[in-house]
Amino acid sequence: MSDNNSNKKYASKSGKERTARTLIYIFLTALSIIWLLPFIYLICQAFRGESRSMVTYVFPKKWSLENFRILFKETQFLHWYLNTLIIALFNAVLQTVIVLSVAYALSRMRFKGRKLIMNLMLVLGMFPGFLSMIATYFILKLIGLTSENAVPGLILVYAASSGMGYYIAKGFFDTIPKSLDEAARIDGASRSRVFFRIIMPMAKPIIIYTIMMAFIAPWGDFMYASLITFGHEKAYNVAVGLYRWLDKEHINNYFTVFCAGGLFVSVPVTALFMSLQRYYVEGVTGGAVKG
Amino acid sequence: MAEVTLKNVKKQYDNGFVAVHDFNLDIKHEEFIVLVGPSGCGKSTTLRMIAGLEDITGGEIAIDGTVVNDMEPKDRDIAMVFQNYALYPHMSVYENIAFGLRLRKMPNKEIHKKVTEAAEILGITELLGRKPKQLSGGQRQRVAIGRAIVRVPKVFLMDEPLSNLDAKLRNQMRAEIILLREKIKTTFVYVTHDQTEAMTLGDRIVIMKDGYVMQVGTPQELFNHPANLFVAGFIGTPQMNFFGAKLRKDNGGYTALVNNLEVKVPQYICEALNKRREVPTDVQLGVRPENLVLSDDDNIGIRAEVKVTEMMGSEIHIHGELSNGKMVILKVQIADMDDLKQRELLNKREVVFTIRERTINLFDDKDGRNLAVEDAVPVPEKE
Repeated sequence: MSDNNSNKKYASKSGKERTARTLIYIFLTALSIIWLLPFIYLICQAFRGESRSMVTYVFPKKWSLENFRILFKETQFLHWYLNTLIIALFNAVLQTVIVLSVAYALSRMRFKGRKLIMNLMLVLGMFPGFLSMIATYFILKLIGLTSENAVPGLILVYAASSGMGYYIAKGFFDTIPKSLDEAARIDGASRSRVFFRIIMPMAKPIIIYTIMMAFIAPWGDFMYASLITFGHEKAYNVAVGLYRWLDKEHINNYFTVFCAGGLFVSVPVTALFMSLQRYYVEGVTGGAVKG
Repeated sequence: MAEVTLKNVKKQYDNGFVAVHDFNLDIKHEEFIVLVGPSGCGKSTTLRMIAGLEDITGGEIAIDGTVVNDMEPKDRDIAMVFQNYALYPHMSVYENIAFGLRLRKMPNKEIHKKVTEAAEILGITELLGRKPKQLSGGQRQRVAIGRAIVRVPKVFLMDEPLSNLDAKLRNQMRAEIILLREKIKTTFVYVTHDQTEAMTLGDRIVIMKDGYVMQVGTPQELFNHPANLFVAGFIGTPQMNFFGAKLRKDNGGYTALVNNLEVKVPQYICEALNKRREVPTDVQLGVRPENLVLSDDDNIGIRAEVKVTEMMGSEIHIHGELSNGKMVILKVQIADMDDLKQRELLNKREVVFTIRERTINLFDDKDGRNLAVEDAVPVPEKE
């Protein structure tokens, strides 16, 4: 009797759990469909051959590569792509150097105002970047780095403030024992040598994480790029360039081309992410668990 | 020649905390100095100031007559072994040892010769190709020492190098450090909180507390004539017993009265007392557990109720309580006792003991200074 009773109790409890689980899975499935649909839609539109305007169905009636031909032959897309690539690559290098240096200095050196600087950067970092957009624009205009010269201007904008993103890298450096630096300094190394010969080889995950972040941010930036290029088509990056095809006068002729361009934009980011994913995860969590 | 001189060295942190007050020490060429004290006493800070890893707030540190206050660690010609070894994890053992030589732009051939030599001294030749994470604690420590000796530095600094090792390995490495010292004749400054290491390794020991130097002396001086109550309690296990005593002058000498037991004060202490302008009557009489002697006659001596007895193998520690509630520890050698006698001793409810007079130390009741040690430093009051 008692066995039966307990069995019954157990069964009803598990039934409840099962319902809860089913509901959770339904919810998650729905979410992932909502999340995945735009990508599938984008791919389908990019290969649609029958018309170039927006349509109400997802799967094309005729598959074709025509959109890609237009993209590369009849538009400035390649130019924009090159602009974006130059900006992203330069920024990846500059920002990585700056972020890692700032993070290392804040992690290792003790100087007056260190805490103040760290807090200030953290607080300033909480303000959205576009608050300073107008001021930035005028400064860049003064030194002639807007419109047709927007590419170096944008590199400057992205790299200049990048030291503020020191936080994760500093967390990583904090987990590397200070005595390693000290041992190297006693062995005869200068501060910079300690940084490059001892700390850098141990910081691979965080270097890769920083490079990825520094590459991806300008790759997808729209706001600053659209302001600083100021309608100068030659200097556009992909985000600004592609977005222009979505306005009233272009959308009917360029919608599928826009989708094809979007596909191309995502290629390098995806490739980069896939190949470095292992390090990326290590970089993000490394600071937390390596204590 | 490598002498190290510390003159009025002071370290104060930005938050106002003073880690080291007015540290003075002349370290002789090829001397082995041990800095010892409880945690937070400033011993590591002092070592790090010698190394150049901490700025000096006041005073002067000189190596070989050159003031090095503002000199970078790399220019001081020192080597240091850290508690956590601080091996470069991405380099092989060989590269770890060679790193300092490479930075000095030594030709490869010479580097190879020196690294293999150092590896041979430390018995780690077969480990040269491995990475630090593939080594055991003892091996890592050897590599860390190898990295330090390969450069033949003027001064060799060691910051608690053995405290991460287990007890057995620690004893072994301690012996190896003594041997190493004979092989590479140089000046050593060694920091530890372990008094056994301090006693066995040091030519001279510096005992510190709360940033103050309590006493500088040979192990024998520190053990037999501790400068104050702190040193007396810190050196020696089990720690020294202290009895409140009345000091009185009688025909040429002094007698200390402890719980009705008259203890004749040794001649050398009497002489020191006679030189003093003022001799206190209330003193602390310090005597080590091995110098409390079980009395043959139950009527002569100090009585203590036995609380705990510990069988240590070759000796028995008896923890007793005096009539005034104070605890006292006796260390009784049992090599000459048979099993029955040993058992009897272990089961005793009460002991009566006398004091080996030759071995006593007298401390001022007020400031804890040893009355027979010249220039003794008082025990610092809690800040």
